[in-house]
Amino acid sequence: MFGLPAFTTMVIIGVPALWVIYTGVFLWLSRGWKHEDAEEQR
Amino acid sequence: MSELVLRTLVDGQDAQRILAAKAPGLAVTSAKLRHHPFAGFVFEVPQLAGRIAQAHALVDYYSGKAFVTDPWQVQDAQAGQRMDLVADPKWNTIDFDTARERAKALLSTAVLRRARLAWRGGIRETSSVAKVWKPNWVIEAKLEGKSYRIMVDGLNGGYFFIGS
Amino acid sequence: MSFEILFLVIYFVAMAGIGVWAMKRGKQDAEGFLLGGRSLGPGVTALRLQSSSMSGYMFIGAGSMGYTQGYFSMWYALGDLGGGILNLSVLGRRMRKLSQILGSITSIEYLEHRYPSKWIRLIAAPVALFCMFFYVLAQFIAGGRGLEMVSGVSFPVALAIAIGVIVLYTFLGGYLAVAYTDFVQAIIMVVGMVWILVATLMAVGGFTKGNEAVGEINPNLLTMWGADLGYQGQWGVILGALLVFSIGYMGWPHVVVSHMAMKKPSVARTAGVYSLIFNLLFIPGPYLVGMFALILLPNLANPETAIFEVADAVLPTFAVGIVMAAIMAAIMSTADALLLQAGTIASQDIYARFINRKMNDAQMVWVSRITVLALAIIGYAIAAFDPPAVAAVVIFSTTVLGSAFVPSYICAVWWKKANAVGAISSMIAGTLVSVLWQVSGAPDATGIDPMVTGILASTAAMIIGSLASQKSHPVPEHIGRALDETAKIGPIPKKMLIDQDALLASQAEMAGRHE
Repeated sequence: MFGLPAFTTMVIIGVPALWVIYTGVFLWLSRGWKHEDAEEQR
Repeated sequence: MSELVLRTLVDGQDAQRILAAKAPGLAVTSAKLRHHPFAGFVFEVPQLAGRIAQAHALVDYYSGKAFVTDPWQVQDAQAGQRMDLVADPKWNTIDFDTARERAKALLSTAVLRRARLAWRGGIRETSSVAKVWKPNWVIEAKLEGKSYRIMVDGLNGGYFFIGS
Repeated sequence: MSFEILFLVIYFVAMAGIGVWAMKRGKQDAEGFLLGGRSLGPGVTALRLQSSSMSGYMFIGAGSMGYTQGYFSMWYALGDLGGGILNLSVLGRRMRKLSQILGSITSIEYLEHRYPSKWIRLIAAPVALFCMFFYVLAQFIAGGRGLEMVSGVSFPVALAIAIGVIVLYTFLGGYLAVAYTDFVQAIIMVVGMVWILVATLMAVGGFTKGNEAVGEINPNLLTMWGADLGYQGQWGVILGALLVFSIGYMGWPHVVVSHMAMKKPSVARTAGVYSLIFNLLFIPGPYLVGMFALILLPNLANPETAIFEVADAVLPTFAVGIVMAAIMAAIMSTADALLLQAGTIASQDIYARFINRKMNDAQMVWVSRITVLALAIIGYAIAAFDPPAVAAVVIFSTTVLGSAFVPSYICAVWWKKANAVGAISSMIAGTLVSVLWQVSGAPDATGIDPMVTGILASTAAMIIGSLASQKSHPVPEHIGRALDETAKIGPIPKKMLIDQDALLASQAEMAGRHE
């Protein structure tokens, strides 16, 4: 694909995909953080 | 003047309300007002373009932490006769001169970060108070059969758990 | 005077004008100027994080690596993509809370509060200054190269002008609304980069056509193994390339300090997402443009100018002016953030701590100024006559900083047993191993990158040092409690726990104690 060797294609698509998944998991795990904000508006 | 007491802006009922709003069903069994000692300073802080701003700072004697605050509202003389003072735990207690250094360091770092290197310095202390007593509520409360002890800031209503 | 220079001048006059206008207009009470730093929302936090950490390297170093190594250079980009989100997710929220509880102002002071020992500062401050100098140097060279190209003057002259303007900016930057200037610059940077990339892709006939044309020049460039396949199977090197800008990035004092300035703890969450989006848009660009420069400009005298030359070749004239102005502005704001942080370290963490304990604010400003000027002069002396490669300089300094500080920063909030002995051993081991590994030529001999050995050494030192000295140097009680609070452990109703005001921690503890 893209005129690139298969391994190169796999890496340049796969690694960013891993970061996107990481971000998704982080967002899921940190969904409670916004409760922390309530008392800080001073 | 070397001593003043800050006016309690959040009264006992406000404090209860704040906690109850967070945890419905929380029952307050007692509320005690305690005063925490700070060193107080008022500075004139030069800004860029020749302007001067006023800044109030409080430094916690017992922890050494410095805070920038709003201008203080002082309690009327007759109101606070007997205060329940927080005792010195003697962990990191600092003296008045150290407190002054801390307050100045906090201010100058903050201003330099914003004004960059064109800033000349020249922070001037216009007044100081050896002891500024700040009110905090120590509240005993029960929730779902467990008892807790919570502190509520007597100025802004922020709270923090002491223990259970 | 060329068209680009005219744009450069207009750009900066406009920025300065906006700043002065905003200052005259906005009311400046005590709250305003002091809390300026603590009031940053997610968009500004994320984009500042990016724009203050990657400009010179991206526009000079990344293009040069793409031009010389092809897709192998992508390993660095792939690690870099996750740098922001990793940093914010691992450190962001906890570091903000802990620094607030401990009352720390600078990032090195924060380390000293968490690991109470004067040795922390004595070691951390010089190591940080040393590495930051190299990173500033990279910005100087990048600025000089950019100006050399747009103005046509010789490199030493362009460098002198660039450094002069950067230093001027650190002095007068206070007249600009800096946080928002950075924000605007980050946006212009990403727009400019996408613009160059799109124009380049159109010039080479699309991504696939471009790759095929690069493959005709040298098919090895399309592999992940380097122009001469030298990195095939060299996983020690590849792992290092991936780690440098993902893990190593967490060691930057001027980057982690921004965690302390977030408006709310949850800012870290949204900022992480923004930074990932920014990175996905921005980071691959310079590497790809560098690679396709091989087709458009096969005979570049200096690969470091690849991006500038390509921009000049593929963009319409007016766009070149805008994009160059944005690039120079980005380089400048990065250099400004670094120099100011270096000045703070020199004045607060070295001068006030070890030389003059009674430093007043005027002295503090002078120490900062002298530090900035000294770094500028030394930087010029090194860069004018034998400029090192920007990519190499940035990778080296990030490697050392990452190796030296990452375990200390991470364990500060995640490991309760981490103590001063562990942190000191970790910083020394990380610095020595990464520097010695590099200068002794071990990476070539062993095929293992100094980032890998450095971070392994400092992590091991942290663990061994802390565990071995738990009895003699236990973690102080108040820090243990602060950590419990940071981690939200304790028999407190969950709903109430997360709304607590961390600033009250020590007052609460004392109020509840003697009764």
